[in-house]
Amino acid sequence: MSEINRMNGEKITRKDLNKVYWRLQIFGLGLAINSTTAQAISFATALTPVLKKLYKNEPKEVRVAAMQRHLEYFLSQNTATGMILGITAAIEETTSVEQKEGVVAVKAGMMGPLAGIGDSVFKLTIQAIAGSIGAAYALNGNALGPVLMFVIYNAINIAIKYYGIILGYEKGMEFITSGEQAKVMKNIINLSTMVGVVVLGALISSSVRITIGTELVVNETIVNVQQLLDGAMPKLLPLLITVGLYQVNKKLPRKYLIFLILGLLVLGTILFLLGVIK
Amino acid sequence: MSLFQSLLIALWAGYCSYDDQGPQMLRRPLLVGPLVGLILGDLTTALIVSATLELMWMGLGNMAGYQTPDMIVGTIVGVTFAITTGQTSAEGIAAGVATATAVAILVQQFNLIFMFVRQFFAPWADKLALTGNFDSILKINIASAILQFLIRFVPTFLIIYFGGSAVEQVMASIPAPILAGLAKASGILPAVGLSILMTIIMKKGMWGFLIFGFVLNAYLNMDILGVTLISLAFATFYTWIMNVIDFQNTQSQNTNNGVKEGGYDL
Repeated sequence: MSEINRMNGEKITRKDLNKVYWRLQIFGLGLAINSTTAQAISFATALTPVLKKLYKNEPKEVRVAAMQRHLEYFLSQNTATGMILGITAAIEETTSVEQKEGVVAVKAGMMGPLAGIGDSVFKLTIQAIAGSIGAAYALNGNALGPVLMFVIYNAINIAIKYYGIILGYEKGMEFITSGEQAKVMKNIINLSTMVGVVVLGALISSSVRITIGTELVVNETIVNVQQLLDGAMPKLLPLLITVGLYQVNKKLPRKYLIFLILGLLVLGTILFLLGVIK
Repeated sequence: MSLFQSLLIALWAGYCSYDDQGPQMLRRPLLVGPLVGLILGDLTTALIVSATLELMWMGLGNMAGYQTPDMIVGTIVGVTFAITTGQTSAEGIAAGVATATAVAILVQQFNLIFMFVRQFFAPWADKLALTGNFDSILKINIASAILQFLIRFVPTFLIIYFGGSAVEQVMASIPAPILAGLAKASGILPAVGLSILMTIIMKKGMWGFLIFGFVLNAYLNMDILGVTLISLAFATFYTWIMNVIDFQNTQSQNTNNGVKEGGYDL
């Protein structure tokens, strides 16, 4: 990108990018969310330090246009938006006033894919892994649980948010479009999915709790059903129940979930009163 | 419960509410609940209820416009009542999980009202843009942060301060065996959260990974942190192998159009 196109010869510094990070950290993307422009107000808020620097000597119309441009529809994911902000800052800096439509196009092109990565990697997988590790400790009353969860989740989250801004700015467009980087992204998603599913398997065994209380009388000897099941396979029931619920949840619309939870509470209580589970 | 304690808990609910849309550092039952335990002087119960709710609501998050049951107020009120009404720990935990579920649905409706108020932000921002003053849109964020604080501060305070005695009376009128049954039933609930998570992250052909984790814990009694680390090691190894295979395939394709073999495209 040539030196000639630079806005006013102003150069964005690490200090400006730090300000962008703090605005994203403090105001997030959700505070000003609305149906018309989604998270655009929040995006513009985080980008403001960059705009202020680049447009400080420009006439009012240009500043108004810059604000309007970034108040257009934007919808992505909190953590991943760091990188979009960094890249947007780089493009804002290196385009002339006539080339600004490109900024909107690039933002629109990135927000979808990065939201997908953000949702699947941060919101679900890393949050779930951190939550599972924490819950495993906390279920036994160990206060280390929430502390571990907080540290694991936020260390990853904040590092990616911050370095997304810095790297996004430094590497600019190159980062997203080059084949090598797309592969790195794919590897990260695959890696976290695999770890997520393995941990899920362990969690089924460690956190779902059910014990059968029924005892059968066979040939005048009392047979404890739970001992029979344990002999076949430890934690067989938690596995069967979870896999069964998985089949149900694949079909069941999420808004009926609460009935599933209430139903299980009622069913469990009845089975307990009948002595089937203890 | 004292007015002071109720206010402290409600303030925490308000802060978590702001965090949920802003910094997003807490927003999960296990991170929101324990502080309530510290305020009320029973950290152990708070930890157990929070962990149960964390697992129960594991796959849930506000995605794709769907408003989930309100985990923040649900957790805070659930932990509070688990501690204040629990005659024995197990019954208290059952009470906590049950109230958390009910309150979460109630406050979910409340949040929908706030969604309506937010629709005025877009025209407001358009007006501020015409001033050409970049920092003027900070006003919207600050106004929203205050509203965001209030929408959970107010209901939490009302439920905890005024609803406490009502909840205690209801709890006292429920026969003990039913409470004990509820406590046992809530032991199954983590299966709900885990199964939802499965529908989201399990891709075709990944049952082997699930069974691997299950066996590590069920047969070998490895704890979750150990399972995470060992699976991380295996996943790194797997990814590395796949990259090598990919690389060799591209090499052979370049020479003789070799048949492409690959691993799972997860």
